[in-house]
Amino acid sequence: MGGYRLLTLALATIVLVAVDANTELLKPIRGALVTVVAPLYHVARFPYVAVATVQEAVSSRVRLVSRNRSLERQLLEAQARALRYEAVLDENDRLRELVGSSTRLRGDVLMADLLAASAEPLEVVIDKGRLSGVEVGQAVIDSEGVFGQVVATSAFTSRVLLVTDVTHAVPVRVLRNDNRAIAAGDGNGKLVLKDVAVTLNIRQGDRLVSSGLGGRFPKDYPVGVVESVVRDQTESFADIAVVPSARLDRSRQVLVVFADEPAATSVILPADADIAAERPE
Amino acid sequence: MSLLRGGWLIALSLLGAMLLAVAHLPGAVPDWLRWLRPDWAVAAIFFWAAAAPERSSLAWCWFAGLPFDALLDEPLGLNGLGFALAGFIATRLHARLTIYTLAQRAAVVFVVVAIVHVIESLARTAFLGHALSWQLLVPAVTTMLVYPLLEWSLRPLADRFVEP
Repeated sequence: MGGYRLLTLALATIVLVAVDANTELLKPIRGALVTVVAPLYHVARFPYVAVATVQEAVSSRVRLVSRNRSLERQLLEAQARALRYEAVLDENDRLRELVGSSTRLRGDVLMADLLAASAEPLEVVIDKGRLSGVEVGQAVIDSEGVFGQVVATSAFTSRVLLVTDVTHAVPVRVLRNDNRAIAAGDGNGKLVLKDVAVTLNIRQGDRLVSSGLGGRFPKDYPVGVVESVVRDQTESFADIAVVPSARLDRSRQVLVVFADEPAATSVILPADADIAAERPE
Repeated sequence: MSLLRGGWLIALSLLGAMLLAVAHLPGAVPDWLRWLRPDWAVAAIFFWAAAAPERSSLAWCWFAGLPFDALLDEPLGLNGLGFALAGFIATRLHARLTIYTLAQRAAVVFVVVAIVHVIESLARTAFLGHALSWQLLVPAVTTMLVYPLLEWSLRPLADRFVEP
């Protein structure tokens, strides 16, 4: 008797899962459920928050003062650098005007805390959701480089797919010579460059930055460093492994990027059209 | 009414399983360590279905999976199917499980978690295109190893609060 019931449930599940995987029909139900269970992410994180709070409360005044001083010094240095950056930015704008190009991406960012992580697919949950203006497709970076992109949102949380997931790809550019490629995740904490001809000028230690093609990721953020290049002359494509720049397994805080101009890459040449397809489904 | 007969304890233990499903270790955690996470939820469902088979209808097991689906961002119903399967096996074997030793029950848990994960992974492969890998059996081993902890902590409470 229980067997028939199990069979019924199994069939119902198959229908439900198929509907959920292929259509948007169940999205409101899922959204409501996620909003209800979202506090659990915070509860699961509570021990670390509590430890940090206690540490803060008991750290001595002397240490706080010295830390404050060092932070002030760092702030000053950062401000000085920011001033230089502004100057460079202005100069850059002028030069762009001179060459008649208007593409520019200057984004606002939103700081978010990591709440949870999963291994399959490689995703993290962050503590900012629709109510903070986060939308599916936004790029996420950390202090070192490109981290991933938002793939789902609920009212208070969002899920971020890491750049190293096998379903993720970023259009990149080699800093040394402006060669373009696509860096896809290998699911094991690294990236691989897809479909790069063996003849391409690329070598170990080359730094890759986001090219901005496709308009999803902001331009010129570090993506990774080439770890190894294997050229088998009998093959058309080289095997290129890349170590991601972002501290994917250590960052506790990330930045969600809000692009001022979503269509920053105003001109997509036909040859680049396939590069613009950021996330192969 | 079910609350009065100890349903709150079952709900609380499942809430605990949900917390353990998303809790993470401090500091840097290598990726392979995540595969070791025991499936506390299936273990808890198995325990309750064996301890109170009359109370554990398959439909309840299935509905208990929905919040897990939302929490882990999986297709709605996927965890429920696994839970219903675990509940089904546990209620079927319940008479036998009571005379088994703890070690034998833990061995059954290994088999149950393995079956559940294989079926869930097949569904993920079919509907989401995820790759199948042998790593999916690792949680079955770790769940078997931690299952005694779950029984030691829940058995006294179950005997006291939950009417079978």
